[in-house]
Amino acid sequence: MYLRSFFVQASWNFRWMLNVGMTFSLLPVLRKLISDREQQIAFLKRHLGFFNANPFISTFGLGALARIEEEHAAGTREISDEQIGRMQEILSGPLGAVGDRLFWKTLRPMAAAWGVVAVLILGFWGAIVFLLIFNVPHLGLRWYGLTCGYNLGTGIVREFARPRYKRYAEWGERGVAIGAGVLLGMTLVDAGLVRAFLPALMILLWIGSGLLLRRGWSPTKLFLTMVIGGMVLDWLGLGR
Amino acid sequence: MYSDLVIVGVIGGITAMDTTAGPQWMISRPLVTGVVLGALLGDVRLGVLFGTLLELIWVGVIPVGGSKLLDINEAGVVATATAVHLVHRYGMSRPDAVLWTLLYVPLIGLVGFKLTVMVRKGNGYLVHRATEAAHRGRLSWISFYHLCGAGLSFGRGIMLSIGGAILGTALIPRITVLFSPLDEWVLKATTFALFGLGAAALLSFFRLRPLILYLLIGVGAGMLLRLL
Repeated sequence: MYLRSFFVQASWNFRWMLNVGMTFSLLPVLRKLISDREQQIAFLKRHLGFFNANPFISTFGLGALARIEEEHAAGTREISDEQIGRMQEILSGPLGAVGDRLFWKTLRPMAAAWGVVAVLILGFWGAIVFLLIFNVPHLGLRWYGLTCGYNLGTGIVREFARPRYKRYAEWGERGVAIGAGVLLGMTLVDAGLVRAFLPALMILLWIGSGLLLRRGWSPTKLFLTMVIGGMVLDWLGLGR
Repeated sequence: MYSDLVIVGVIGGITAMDTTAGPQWMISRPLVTGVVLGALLGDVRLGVLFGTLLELIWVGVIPVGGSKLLDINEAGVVATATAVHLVHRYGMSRPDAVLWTLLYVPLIGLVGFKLTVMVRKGNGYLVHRATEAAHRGRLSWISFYHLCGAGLSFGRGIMLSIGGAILGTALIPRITVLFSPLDEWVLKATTFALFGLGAAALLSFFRLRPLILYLLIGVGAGMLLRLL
């Protein structure tokens, strides 16, 4: 299930999202628990409803559903097919929100900031630093999610209320800030070596772009403005 | 030339697959594909430049569900390949090759996004077939149709990376002849400005006030690192 979870998004679609991915990942559980064909079909139908989650922590849901199915097959839990399907839908919310905050908004930016610094210093090997910063927590949390989900079963929703996830995000934010600062510091020194006035100009540009981004300007627009602006200034003969 | 296109195609395919289908180990990120492709095509410096710039600027674009976003991962592959060919096969100056290729990036990103939407609609057909297989209890076919989605992503990546690189190397030289050559200083200044935009993009997720101290510590450390 752990290995299958890496491809949970392979057939992502607009209507049902991760439904087949989830079912694909649960197939080992199905094969282990149920041999009767009609019951297998019932199992599959339970899990082909809507499901969406951040892919990196979809294993929390997988583990929980595996546990519920195991108890259902053993008869130790009174739960209907509709309730299992409903459980899958309920998990979508927290698995999306927590995962997006931890991974897209924290871990990936932190890995990007430090990865860029590492590449600027180490060249090719800096990319390995980036991959390690992202994947060590990623692979660990994915595995933890599977075991935690299995251990907690229907109690998995309480897991995301624990303060530790907020703490991880806060540490990550500090990591992003320090990494971004290191990059800016290195760039200021490099800029000063090219033209004496560049560091001051860069600071103004950076503050300006930061303010515009926070006001909703798209990074693409700012990117094009900077590139085209630089080219136009050069054609006008300024700065040479 | 053809061997380079094969390399670009394979890297592009893996990039597309890792971005949207699996295994999502971030090997598709511009920082990784830029340096790897740069090394394979013979210019790590260009790979590092595109990888670092493209990694940061769009870091705030989150691939959540059906959100609209540029496919910067594929754009990174195409941009690195295009710039390396422009410099080493067409003899274009580095500033011209880099800056004009940077302008090409959003176009490739947009085409990549449109192709991603097409693949996801195609996945709807695969899901329909997988559901039919499930209703007949044919377990292996569920896996087959599901993993075909990864194949679609891989194919999209190959097409976009090879097509984008060929188009870029054909189009950009025809445009640059209409303008004066660019100086090295403007490449450096633009790079510095874009690094700052990237840092601003990184910080745009958060409330800045609680992080100012950490940011300043980082700036000081970065300056020391460079000076030492």
